[in-house]
This record gives sequence, C-alpha cells and structure tokens, in this order.
Amino acid sequence: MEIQITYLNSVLIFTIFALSLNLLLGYAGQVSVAHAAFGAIGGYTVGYLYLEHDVGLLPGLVVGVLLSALAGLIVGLPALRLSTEFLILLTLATQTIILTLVTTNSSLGGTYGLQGLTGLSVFGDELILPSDFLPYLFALAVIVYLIVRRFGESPYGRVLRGIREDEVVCRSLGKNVFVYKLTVFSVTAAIAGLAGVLLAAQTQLASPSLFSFDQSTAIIAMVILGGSGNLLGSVLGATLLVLLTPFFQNVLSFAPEKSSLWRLIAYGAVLVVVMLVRPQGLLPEGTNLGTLGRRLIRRRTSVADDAMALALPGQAIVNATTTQGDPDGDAHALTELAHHGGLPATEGGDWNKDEVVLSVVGLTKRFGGITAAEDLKMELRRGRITALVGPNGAGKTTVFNLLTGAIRPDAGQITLHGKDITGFRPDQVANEGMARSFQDVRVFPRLSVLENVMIALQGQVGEHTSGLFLRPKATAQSERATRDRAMEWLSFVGMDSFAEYQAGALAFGQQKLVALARVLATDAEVVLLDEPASGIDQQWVEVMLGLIELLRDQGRTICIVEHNLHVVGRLADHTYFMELGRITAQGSFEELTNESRLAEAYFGTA
Amino acid sequence: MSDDVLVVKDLQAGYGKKHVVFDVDLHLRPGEIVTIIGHNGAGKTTALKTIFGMLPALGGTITYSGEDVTSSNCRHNALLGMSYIPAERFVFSDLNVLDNLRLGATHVPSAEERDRLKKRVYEMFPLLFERSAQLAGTMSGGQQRMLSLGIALMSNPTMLLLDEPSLGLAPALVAEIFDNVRRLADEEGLSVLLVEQNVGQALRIADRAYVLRSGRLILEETAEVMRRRKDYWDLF
Repeated sequence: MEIQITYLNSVLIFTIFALSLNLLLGYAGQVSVAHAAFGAIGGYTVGYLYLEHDVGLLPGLVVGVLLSALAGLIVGLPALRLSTEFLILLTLATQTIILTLVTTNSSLGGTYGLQGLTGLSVFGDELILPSDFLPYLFALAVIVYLIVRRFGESPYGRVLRGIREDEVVCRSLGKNVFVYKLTVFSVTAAIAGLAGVLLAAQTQLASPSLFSFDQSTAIIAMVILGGSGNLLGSVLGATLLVLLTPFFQNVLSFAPEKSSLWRLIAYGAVLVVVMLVRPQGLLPEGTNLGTLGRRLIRRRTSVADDAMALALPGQAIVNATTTQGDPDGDAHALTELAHHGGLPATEGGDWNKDEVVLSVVGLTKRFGGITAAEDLKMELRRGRITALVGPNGAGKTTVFNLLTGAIRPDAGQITLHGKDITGFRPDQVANEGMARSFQDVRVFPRLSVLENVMIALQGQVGEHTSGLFLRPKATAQSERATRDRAMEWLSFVGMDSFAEYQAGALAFGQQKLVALARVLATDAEVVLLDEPASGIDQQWVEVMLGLIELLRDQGRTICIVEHNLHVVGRLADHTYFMELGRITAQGSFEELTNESRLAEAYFGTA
Repeated sequence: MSDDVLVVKDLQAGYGKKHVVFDVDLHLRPGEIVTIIGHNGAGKTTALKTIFGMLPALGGTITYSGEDVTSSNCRHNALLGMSYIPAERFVFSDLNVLDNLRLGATHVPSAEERDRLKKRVYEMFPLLFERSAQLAGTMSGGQQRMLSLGIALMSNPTMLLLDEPSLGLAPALVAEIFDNVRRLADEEGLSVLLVEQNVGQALRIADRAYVLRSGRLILEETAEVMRRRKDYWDLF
C-alpha cells in the first residue's frame, strides 16, 4: 500500500510543478525550461538548513519558497524584453547554472546531493511513511490549485493570456506588461520552489538528478499533454506521466534503469506527438467538466456558419446609418454630447475654433541617417476627424508610433489634455486617454471576441493582485460591469452575436470590427485608427465609415491614417499631408487636392 | 480576344481569410504595356502575385496564351513564359551580376541558348556587361533594377510582371528604367503588366491602365485618355 501511496505523493508533487508551469507557460506564454531548477532552490534550501543547521521543515520551507521567488524575480528581469527563442535560452542557462552550482558545491553534497533527509516533522507530526506525507501534500496541492486558478481564470488571467497572444497590443490597451511578467515569473518560481521542498522531503534527499533538465522537460511535457492553459489538464498530465514509471516497471516489467530511460523517451515522444497531432493538449484551454458541451467555437464547420461569417453584421449597418445610434447607446451618446457642448458641425464650422485635445510640437525622429519625422507640428481637435496622408515612406506610421509611445522621439513635445506625455510608455499613454488600432488588426486570436473587448476596459479591480485576492466581491462586481460594458461596445459594432467565438476564427472584416470595439472600450478620448478601411470590401468600408462618423458625432477625437483617398475625402475634417517625414501641407481635403504640387508629390511626374 | 496573352476573369484574391481582391477582369495583348494603378493597399500586388501563381486564387480564372493557369503555381507559370520582378529584394545581393543572370536562365535547356540570351541582355544593358563581376548588393538602386530586368530577360519570357519598379529610385533613374521597359515591349514583343504607384511615369509608357480601389476595378482606360486628366485624386 505504501508503494502505491508513494506514487500518489509523486503525482501530487508534480501536479504542483505542472500547475505553476502552466500559469507561466500556458497562460502567460513565457516558455521556461528552468522550472525544475527553481524546485532545486526550494529542495536544497530545506535540505541544507535541516542537515547543517537543524532548521525544521516549516521554516525551511518558508525560506526555500522565498528564495525561489527571489530567483524568479531575478530571472524575470532580463526576460522582460526577450522574444520566445531567447527566453528559452535564458531559462536554459538558468537551469544549467543553478544545477552546476549545486553539483559543484561540496557543502551541498556535490553530485550525490544532500542525503538522509529523514526525521522531518511538521507540527510535531513525524513524517516517516509515505502515508504521513499524503494529507499535507493533498492539502497543498489543493491550495496551489486554488491560487493558480484564481490567477489564471480571472481578469488577471485574461491579461496574462493577452500578453501571451500579443504583448504589444496589450501594452497599447494600457496594461503594464512588465509588472505582470515579473509577478508571474516570481510567483510560479515560488510555487516550483514549494514543489521542490516537497519533492526533497518525500524522496528524503536533494540531488541534482532530482531537479535536472530532464525533470524540467518532464514538467513541460505534463503541461503540454494535459492542455496548455487548462489547469485540470495539468492534473491529468501530471498523473499520466508520473504513472509511466509504475507502468514501465510493473506492467511491462522493465528494470529500473531501463524504465527511467524509456520514461525519458516517452517525455520527448509525448511532446513531439502532441505538438504535431493535438497542440491544444488533452483538455484544451477553456474546457472544464462543466463546459465540455459548450466549448469555445474553434472553427467554422458548416456552410451556415460560413455564410454568417461573411455577412455584414446587421446591427452595425443600423448603427452606422442612424445618427442617433442604437437605443442602448443613446443615453451614452447624449451624455457625451452634453459633456462636449452639443453636436459639432459636420461640414464647415471653423476647425480652428474647436478645442485642442492633442498638440504636437517639434516632433523629430531619426533612424541612423534617415529622418522619419522632422519637426512635426500638429493638432487633434475635439469631435473632429483628422487625417494623415502622404506617399509611401512619408512617415505616417512613425507618427502613430511616436504619439503612442511605441518609439521615443529625439526632440519635440506631445501634449494631451494639457499634460506633457512625451516619453510616456505605450501603456501610460493609453491610461492618459489615447489609444490606437493596428493596420493588421491584431485581435487576440485565442481569446473570445468578448474577452478581446473586456480586456480593453480600464480600471478593472481583478486585474491587480491586490484586488484579485483581497477584494473578491469587488472583483466579481467589476467583472460583471466589465462584461456588460464590453457587450455594449460589441453591439455598437454589430458583433455581439459572435461574443463567444474565438477571435482568430473570424473573417478579417469581422476581426476589424472587434478591434474597433476593443479600442473604443478603452474609453480613450483620442482614438488613432490605422488604415480603418484597408483589406475589406466596399460594403464593410461603408459600415466602418458610418461607425467612425457616429463616433465623431458623439464627440470623440479621431485621427486616421489612410491610403484610400475616397475615405479621407469623406471622413476628414482636417488633413495633414506628409512627405519624407515632414508635414508639407494642411487644410481641408478639397484645399489639398487643388494644389498641383501635392498631386506631383503623390502621383509622380510624367 | 483570342490572341490575348493574358485573360483574367472575375479574379478573387487574398491571403487566407483576408479577401483583398474582388471581381477583377483584365486582359493583356501581345506587345502591350498595361499598368495597374491605385492607392496603397488596393490589392495591386496581391492581384499580380495571384496571376503569377505565388498566391492561390480564391476564385475566377486566369488564362495564359490560351492555357488555364488558375491553379498553377509560379514554377509552372515561369516555365510557360511568365517572368515576375518583385518590388523589393529583386536581385541576389551576395552573387555577382553574371551569376544573377545565370540564375535567371535556370530552366533554359542548352548552353548555347543561355549564351545567346546573355549576349542579348549585355547588348541592351552594356552597364551589366561592364560590371559582370561586381556583387549585386554593391550596386546602386538603379543599377540593381536594371539587373533585375536582365535576370527576367534571361528566361526568354513572353510576359513580364513588374511590381513597382520605381520604388526607391530617383526620378531620373525611374525614367531610364521605364524607357528600357518600353524598348523591351517594342523590340522584343514582350507583354508587360506593370503595377505602379508612380502614375505619371507609368502612364508615359503604358498603352492602357486599370485602376483598383479597395480591391475592385473602378476604371479601365487607354493611357492616352488618362494622360489628359488634371489629377488622379478621385481614383485613389
């Protein structure tokens, strides 16, 4: 019986390893191969403190977990700016360094490690038999599951998944990606440290082979097999792979050495086969026992669905062609109008009399010898659509990047609502009230349409660890309000019936509408739209234009970059003409198209 | 018309789920230069790549010299006589001029034929002969463009697909390159489909023009009529 319980203990310990790695890898998309090494920190700390300094298990555990958390933080810092390939290299180095340190350190037992971790006790309870460990391991596994689930299946987890899908877009929606990454690295390393403590205690030794690269690989295999982004999947994956050992030894009667070799082969094979055949793992993200029937729709499987995908959202057409907007939006629209002092004139009216919301002076950016932007002076006025036009390479996209903080200007000042935001990070700019859309749309493909919009809403209680763990009621309330508001924005663009669809399964035009809802949901007053009319058919362009005009009438400040001059002519209240990084003309679209010099610059000379 | 070298009917094109070109009809006669103009993102390059077979057509038909090439890939189309010069990275920078030209004649069966084609290219572009040992990446933009035309000629094509040859070139050089293209059409009977942003230069050498906007054909006109326009704002 004790032998079976040993395996059960192992399952519980590796469940803890797998759950924490899933949070880092499955939810946040940070590929780490150092997970066992963080376990080593925990295991060796307890072993060393116990054997050398007679420190009990509990205090040793606490120290071990804290040291692992610190290690996670240290690794997390350089990892902040690394792409996946380099992150793998960094964590590989971490795994190697930590293991080398413990192997070559004689006071840590060298290659054999710290042996004889016997006589450990907890609350006076001596831990001798596997069955003594079982209740504690079970309790800890449950606690870890609850903690990881709170992180992962919550507004906080939604941000993590957004970071996984597209970090740049996440930042542009106002999320401080660095803080999230550091927290997740640190927390998951701490939990791995805990698992390491438990592993060392249960095995009664802390050795390099217990926390090797092979072990890290095994944990990755458990997460991938079970289902990346699915916590029950991690439990399943850990169970299946831990039970390979008794399977090989008892069912196939392999000798222990042969069994461990075949186990290693099995981990590798599992990883390769799963990635090729079923990358989402046994339990895909978003499925649990309760929702097995109503999973997120992954791909259109029927003709009816295809037709639905290509049809224009009816409500969007209604919204776009009504000056009042949809019934729910009326109240919002009226409030906005009252705030902004009435409907601005759509044609004529003096652009120069409108309030300046965003002001740019002397903005300059050089890349080596190329001047991408030279001494730019522009203004975005409240309730007006401003357009940026110019031939290829004129610097239009650079302007958007400079305004939103994606790149730092070499000179100049950007002022939003009278506040100097020059040099602000993209998430700070979004928090100040300016947000952008992207030319290639960039919805979060594995998030649902609704989640894509929910993530954009500002001030969510559950997006911060303090709110998430210390204010559960406020978090739940905030989440309900967020969901309602997000559905309002989806209704505005006519995509509300697609709320539960995976965003990546939508047609391009539909994704564009979702992305519009997303940027609007930030409640940013200044909205920068990058080629809103590109890549979609005429009818969709009409819908998009209608929605943008409606937004302008509601008092938003909008700036568009567009190549389709027909769209510019229709939408723009004011146009800036750019050539080779400079603004060489501005005025109404009519004024600009009457200047022959501009025609020459745009169309080339014969 | 049955003697058209290229007939495209009802072309639908795009990238996977992103449908970018809708219901485009166009045709090209032997020795004709036809230009496709339109705003950035209108689908001009997408249409060109689909005709060449680099992208699968999402609908419609493409007929080349009477043969249905709608589902052909570019390798097949190159063997049939199409030659495509992309907007960027149109020479092998790490190879010298001679090797670049040789690569253009990869599927030419005999050495004599290759030599003949090479001589023809050198006659047309003496500069390439002078610099035959020079690494393509060290040449100026205009010279590289010239080399790209030479590479295309080495395959002895019947139709040339050019994607924005004026990109990155000074105005004077653009004129020179375009003059060379007109020469090729006049002297060698090459049919040319030219995608361009530089409307002025394109209309100077073209016989006809198609205008694309947001993926759709909004105008087909002779170059002569187009040249008489005051400007093209309403087409973009």
